[in-house]
Amino acid sequence: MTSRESEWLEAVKRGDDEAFSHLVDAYQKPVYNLCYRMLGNVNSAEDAAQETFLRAYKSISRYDTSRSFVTWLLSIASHYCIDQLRKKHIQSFSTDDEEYAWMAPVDPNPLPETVITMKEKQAQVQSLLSVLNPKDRAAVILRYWYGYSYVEIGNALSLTVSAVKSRLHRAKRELAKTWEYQKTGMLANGRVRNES
Amino acid sequence: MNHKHFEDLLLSDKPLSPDESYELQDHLQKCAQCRNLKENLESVETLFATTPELEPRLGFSNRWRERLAIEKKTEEIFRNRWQSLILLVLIGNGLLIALFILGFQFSGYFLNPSQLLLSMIARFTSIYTALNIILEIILVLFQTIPGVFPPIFWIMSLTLMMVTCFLWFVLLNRLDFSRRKVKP
Repeated sequence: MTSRESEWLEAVKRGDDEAFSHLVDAYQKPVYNLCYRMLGNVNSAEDAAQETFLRAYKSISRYDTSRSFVTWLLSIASHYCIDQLRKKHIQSFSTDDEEYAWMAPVDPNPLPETVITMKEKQAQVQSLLSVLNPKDRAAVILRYWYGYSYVEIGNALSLTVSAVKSRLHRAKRELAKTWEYQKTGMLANGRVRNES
Repeated sequence: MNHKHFEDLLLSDKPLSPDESYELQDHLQKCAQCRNLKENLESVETLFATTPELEPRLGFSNRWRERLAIEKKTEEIFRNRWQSLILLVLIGNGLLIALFILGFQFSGYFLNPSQLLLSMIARFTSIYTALNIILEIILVLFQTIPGVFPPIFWIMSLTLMMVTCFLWFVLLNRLDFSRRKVKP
């Protein structure tokens, strides 16, 4: 934890709302990214990210400073998204062009082809993640986008290390299988198009 | 052919020993199914590794601040409602207990209404008599006290009272003024 982060946390505990806004500024990107990867929908992701910060703000007194703040935030976000997916409130995965307009491009002035490729990539990622059950999806996201260890994933998702291992094992097999289906589907579509 | 062992090696994150690595490579050369799994897994991992993190729309923090303000207001309304409800329940319970006690005490009267009427008349008569006595005492005091003290005493007492009132008024005004100055 950085010294600035500790200062902000101390200020938040004293009731300074502005200090929490600094933390929101600093961690909005990882939290939003996790929510989007989990829910696959920009509106739901925005709502989930806002809710995550709100829950963190309300329970800041229970935050253990020996833990990483961002891990704590991502844990709240994961649990919230898992609950939302279980309640089936989320219309998961949308390929609507307007939705992708909110996504930040890597290049500030991207070429149209780059934008299209990026959109396709994002859509492909979401379609792969959507086949996983909520907890497996959270484990995969924390592993691949945040580089978390099994222990960290276990702490974030309230799972044992062996449970994390078995979930990741199952999820990888599922992802590979889905990739195979998609590849075969694309090849078949291409063949149909060529023949016609 | 036993694929499970090799699948486990491919799906596991732990680094393989030289023996395991050799065994796996050997198997992959012969087994198309496991080779396919490896390729698919590598493709998925490459896709994940090359897909950038996403950012929320601009103004996320401002929207969060607005949401926090709304949440705080809603909580305050909710808290006030709860407090009012608790107060109402307490008052209601107090009234019920009072009614129960009163009902228990006056149950005899309720069973016999004529006795209740008689006791009420007796109570009013005693109150009326007591008020009359007090009035008479006050009248006697007003008639006798002015003669007991000389006129100068009354003038001085009146002046003292007026000065005290004036000082009290001035002090109150000063205090109020200083409080107003402290406010931002």
